[in-house]
Amino acid sequence: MSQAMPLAILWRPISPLYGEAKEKEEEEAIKTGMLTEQQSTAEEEELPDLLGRIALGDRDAFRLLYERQSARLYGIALRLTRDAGLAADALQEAFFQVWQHAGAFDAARGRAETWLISLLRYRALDLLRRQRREDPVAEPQSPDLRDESPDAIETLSRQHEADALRRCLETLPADRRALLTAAFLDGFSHQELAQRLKTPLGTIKSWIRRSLAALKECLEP
Amino acid sequence: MSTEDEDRALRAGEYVLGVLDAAERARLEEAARRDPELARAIHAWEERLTPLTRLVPPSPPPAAVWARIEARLFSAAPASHETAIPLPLWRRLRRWQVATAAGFAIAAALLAWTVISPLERQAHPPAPIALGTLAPSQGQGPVLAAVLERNGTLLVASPAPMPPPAGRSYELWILPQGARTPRSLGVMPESGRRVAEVGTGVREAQVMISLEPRGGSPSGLPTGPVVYAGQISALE
Repeated sequence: MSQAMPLAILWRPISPLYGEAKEKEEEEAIKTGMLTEQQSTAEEEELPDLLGRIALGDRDAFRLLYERQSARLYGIALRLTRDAGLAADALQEAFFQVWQHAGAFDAARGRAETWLISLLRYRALDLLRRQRREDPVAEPQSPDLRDESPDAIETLSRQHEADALRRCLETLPADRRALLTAAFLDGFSHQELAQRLKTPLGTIKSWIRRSLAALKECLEP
Repeated sequence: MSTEDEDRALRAGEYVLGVLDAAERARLEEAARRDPELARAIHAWEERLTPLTRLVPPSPPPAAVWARIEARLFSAAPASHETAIPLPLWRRLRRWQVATAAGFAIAAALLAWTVISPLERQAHPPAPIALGTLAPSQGQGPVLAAVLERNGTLLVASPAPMPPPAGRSYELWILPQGARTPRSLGVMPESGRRVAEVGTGVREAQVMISLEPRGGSPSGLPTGPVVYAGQISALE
């Protein structure tokens, strides 16, 4: 089945929460991704250590973790929820969980960054889905899908761990890649993607499944 | 890779990607708690996809957020349960714990059987069809046993009394598999033991205890944090 996704919708640039100025700023931040790159190695070493200290009840470590990671986590939550209040709640709840469950982080099983960001994303998604269920009509405020510009995807390659992901994302057709990033970063559910793209739910589900399968195959050694 | 493995991997992928609705998310988290392979598949997708978040520019949160975190976690008289937001249980377990959790749950439930008084046993002759445990969502606390009997009676028993904080009550809830909203099974007595009727149709369910205003939730749904949670699973 090679049903084309309406590209016009996918590619239209959108400004979810920000005005245009902010959008530009975002572009700049992405292009100057060197900053994150320089930090990342130090962070990789620091994070597991901080989580270990927090597990023992070290408040200074907790405070330090907040100082180092809150802007990054809040940015992710803001992008997912498109709502400053929900994003703040998600961040707050994620840090409660960090304080209470830092001991559950197992360095042997994965990267600390993954643990921390996943925790935040799940809190944000829970809050987002709950809000939608309680107030389904409030939703259309949210943006259309956007594809990350080629430049943005390119910055991924500067991150050691992201290099393989970037290469594999690039093997997908642009519209499918946009579908994955719209889901992962913008928090769209199957249902919302179907509505937004005016495409049957079953089709969306199968596009996602096939894109995931292709990505997984590409990423596996 | 078998079709079953493939399907598991894709379901995990959908979960991590975030395309599932609230009910689907809850179902998958529940499944992952009992299926270590699924939990592993979720972790694998988290590792694969998290680098994508590097595309999102950082944005400093409002200062009020840290103030709220600090106030709720570290204020002079913290009601620590107030802030308890449980991780899904399967996320809190380390690898070896996932492998042994099922065995542990049954052992703990059987052990706890002995703490249920003979009188209670007389009133409810033992014919367990499902067992489980309720673990504290955070920090220290007893593990409670949950025993569902053939006649639809659920016994929840703590090995020690569990008086709630002043002015509050612990309320027991059940969320049978497939149900969308939890049902109240009443307020937990200070003894930490409660016998409730859940009906004979239930085999698999989540059982939770939330912290509520004194006398129980005013809304009929949990309003406070879940402080104990677990799963009962059919024995047969």
